[in-house]
Amino acid sequence: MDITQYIGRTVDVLAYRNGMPSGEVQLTADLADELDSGQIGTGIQKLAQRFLLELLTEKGSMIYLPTRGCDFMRQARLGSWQTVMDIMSSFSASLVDIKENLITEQSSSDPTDEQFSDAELVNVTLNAGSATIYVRVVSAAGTARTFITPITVTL
Amino acid sequence: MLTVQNLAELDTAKVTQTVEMISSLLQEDNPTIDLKRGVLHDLLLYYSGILATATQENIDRVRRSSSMLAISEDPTLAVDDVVDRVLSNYRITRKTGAAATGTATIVVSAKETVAVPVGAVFTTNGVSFKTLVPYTAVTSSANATSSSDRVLTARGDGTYFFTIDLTAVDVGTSGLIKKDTLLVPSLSILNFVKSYAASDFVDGTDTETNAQLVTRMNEGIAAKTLSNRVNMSATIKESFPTVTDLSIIGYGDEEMLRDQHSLFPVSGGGRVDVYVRTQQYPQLIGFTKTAILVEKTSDGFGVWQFSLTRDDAPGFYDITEIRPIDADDAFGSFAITSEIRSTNVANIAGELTPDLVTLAESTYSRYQTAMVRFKDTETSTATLTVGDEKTYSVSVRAMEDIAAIQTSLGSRNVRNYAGDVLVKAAIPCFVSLGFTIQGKPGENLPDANSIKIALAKYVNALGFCGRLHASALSDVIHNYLSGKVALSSIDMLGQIRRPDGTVKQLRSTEVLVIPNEASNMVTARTTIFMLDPSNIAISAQTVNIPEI
Repeated sequence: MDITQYIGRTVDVLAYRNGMPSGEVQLTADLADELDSGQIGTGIQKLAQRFLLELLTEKGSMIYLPTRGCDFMRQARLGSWQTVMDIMSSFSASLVDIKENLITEQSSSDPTDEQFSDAELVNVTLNAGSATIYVRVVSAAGTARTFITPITVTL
Repeated sequence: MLTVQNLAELDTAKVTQTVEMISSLLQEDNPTIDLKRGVLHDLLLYYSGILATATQENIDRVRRSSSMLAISEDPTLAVDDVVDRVLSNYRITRKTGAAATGTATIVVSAKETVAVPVGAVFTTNGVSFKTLVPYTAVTSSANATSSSDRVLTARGDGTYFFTIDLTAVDVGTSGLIKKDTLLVPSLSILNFVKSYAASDFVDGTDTETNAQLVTRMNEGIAAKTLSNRVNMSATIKESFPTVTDLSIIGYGDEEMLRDQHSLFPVSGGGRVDVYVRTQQYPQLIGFTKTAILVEKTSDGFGVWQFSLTRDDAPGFYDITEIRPIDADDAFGSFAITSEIRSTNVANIAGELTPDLVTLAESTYSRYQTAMVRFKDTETSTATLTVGDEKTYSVSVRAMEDIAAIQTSLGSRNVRNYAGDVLVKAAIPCFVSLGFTIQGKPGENLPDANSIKIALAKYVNALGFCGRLHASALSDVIHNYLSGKVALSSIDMLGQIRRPDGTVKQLRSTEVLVIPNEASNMVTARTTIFMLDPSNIAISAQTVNIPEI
């Protein structure tokens, strides 16, 4: 997309940074770093970030938004992940909640590349004490963003 | 707490509303930021909304805390310091509780010096009392060197006694133990035989609750003068804080008989009868009386007579015990053969004597007197002659402060110039209860003593209500029941001692109702229920409930 197509869009603060249009880059969770005092994002970048927020928020942890989040991180925290299949199963179950939450909070007037369509777990790597997951998020515009999230877990 | 202590205690709807309001304000200020979802929403707006809601809640609570109506409707505001602050605007101050005090008699088996240290604890039914000063019981008055030294006195049966003052360890009415209640010392006392309350313990009061404070609010702002009922109530309660209930009978009330003393049977006004309760339960007052032998009976004993003056136990209800001075509580009492009450209206300096014509009018007031005859079945009169004297121990039931309140209201500066005021102890309906607690074998039975105290506290706080419902008592009892323990019907017995001396019996398993006998001055406006914990019989029964 041309950058001019983003003029007039609403923006959000980038909490997960370093995303690139292509290539494999690990996201970092920073509101600011030594180089700048913060970045903003829009379009599919905002959608990917919303997905990640849902994925990493434990359902029930936001007292006054009890339906937000999913059980993905709870299962990681409780040590339920022993194999790659466990993570894939956990992701599939969590995707139901994430999809419902994301679709509920968006409207048809939102730009299509900010509307959630689907997501899939592209790859999972289990390391000693951590798991790295590759998630592809697809917007209603058909654009997709794949990101990598290292998650420290008890194995 | 007045302020929000936990962010989780906020109202969800209010949080949502606040988040939406902040979102709207920010969006108007900066239309380019996405506040519907995402990082700004979750990290900034969401928590900002919660904190703003908490702040608003604090503001609302402070605002509502200045209103007694709001306080009574919102338990989160019913914090003692908030209620105290608001009620101070109405000149109401919370009555703090006080520890009960009283005198205990210690009986020892030998005439030897005995020491009771400061802090010595005596216990009865889970209630503890302690000495505030060290006591030494000495063998003769010559050995007494300080005000806390006591002289051992012979009881006539080879034992000796001395008295000490005790104060309840805990504040509250639980320390109001009755005369002759056995006290168990927690320390070793030389030659100890037993110890017991020498008279009813007094002054134990609970700290006033918020509900009680609110009911006093009108009295706080009322002028302290003998005018209308609110003013009079405020006057009396300010001067006599122990007055818990009072009922004012005046012109137009059917119970008012004193204003019909003219030739014509109409009310003339100018007379006020004040019925008061100054204690949860009447105090047992013990004193000695010198009786005169008035008749020698054929069985070798005799009938003795003594008088109770209007100052012995002002406004007393009845005589509970007459016994030899060296007899203990196990002795019981000699039977009263006649009790004739009369009225002493001799002028008291500085007081206006109320207009009293009939005996019933003065009953339970400080002007009543009595002449009592009883048969002594222990003292042989073979060598005595009619007119001989002997000293006896006498106990009566009475409300405290009847004479003091009469003196206050009858004084020239306080009394209304258009009439007189007669203060009486509230007409008593002495209540006794009996019920059974039923449960499966092995069920935990409740503490019967706690139930008795709770029931007495409930009944004695009812005031002039006219009705005592078994369902309300059942509610109190159920607070102490757990598991599959249940309650039988409650047998309630009431005995109203009318001012004319006759007794009206009430009995029901549903409700005791004070009858309307205005001609006897007995109505719901003059009569109160009184329940002594010792008059509650609780039995336990095991019942078979089949396993299913």
